[in-house]
Amino acid sequence: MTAILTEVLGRRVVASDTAEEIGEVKAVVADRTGRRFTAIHVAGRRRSAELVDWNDITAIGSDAVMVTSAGAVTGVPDQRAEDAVKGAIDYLGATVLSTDGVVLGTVSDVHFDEAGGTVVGLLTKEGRIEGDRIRGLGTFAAVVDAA
Amino acid sequence: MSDPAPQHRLVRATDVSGLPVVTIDGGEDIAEIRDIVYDGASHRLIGFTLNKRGWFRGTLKQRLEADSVHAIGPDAVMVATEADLTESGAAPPALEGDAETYDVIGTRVLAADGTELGSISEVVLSTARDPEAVGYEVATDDGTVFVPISAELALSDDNLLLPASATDFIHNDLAGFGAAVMPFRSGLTDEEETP
Repeated sequence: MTAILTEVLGRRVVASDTAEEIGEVKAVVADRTGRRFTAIHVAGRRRSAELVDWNDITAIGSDAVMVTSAGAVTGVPDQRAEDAVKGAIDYLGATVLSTDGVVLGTVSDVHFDEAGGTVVGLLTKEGRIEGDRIRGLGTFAAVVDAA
Repeated sequence: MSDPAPQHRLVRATDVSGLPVVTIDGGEDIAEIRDIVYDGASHRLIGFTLNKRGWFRGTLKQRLEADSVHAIGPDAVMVATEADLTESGAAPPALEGDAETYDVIGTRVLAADGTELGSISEVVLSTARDPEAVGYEVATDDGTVFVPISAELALSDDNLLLPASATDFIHNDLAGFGAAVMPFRSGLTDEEETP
């Protein structure tokens, strides 16, 4: 199953074991390669940012994102996650830069595989960019192989 | 496709100044091109000095050697990874000094028959992997023309002498110059496939 990032943002996050509502999806954390989501940023319960590792997601349903348990919630583990929580690294609105040094557009949405968190496509106004072209995601740009 | 094939795209050296240096593996802007270091005697691009990025940009100690560049684009200079910057002290001597300008600007350009074309106003670079200097922009009485760099160019402190063989490659627009010169140059060197 695949999903679209903007449709998942704002969805309730619920613990599978207790049915407790943990908060809502505020953002996702992508790894440095930009090819995989590693965690979701859950907001709403505490003032400090909370993350759930992608491996602790049991289902991304149409109404709620199910996670293994409330105990799966962690703090911000590293700088990469910190940058994502603060919005410094965010696919939505990221500049797409080719390995030739040409700006190709701006990311408007991300198409991803729910189970593994693999990014399968970037959507831009200029068209779709397949996930296997992605080379890196940072504060400056999402870098993709030149066509 | 509106862009010409990248291997034929050329840029004026000064247009590269100010471009961000971006890592392919991380999408980070790790530096900004300050100056182009060019050896006029050998017509060779050596590399770039760098500034820090951001509002309070100072100079950066690291250098970027031409060999370490993945590509020069209109929007960024691409490197594979942050380690492709050369630490101060490890760069070639010409890159270490504060050699801020290439020393060919203003040099008079003469054709083989002794007529003066004008004077060099710019160095023209190729933009693909391992960028190099491929030509000069020459300011003439009637605007600018581009002349190719070849092994036959004779350069002194006063004059650049164009061989007769260069005449066919003189163009007054950069795109036309690139289309003429790049196939000619790749014929001179071993055919090198770039992905």
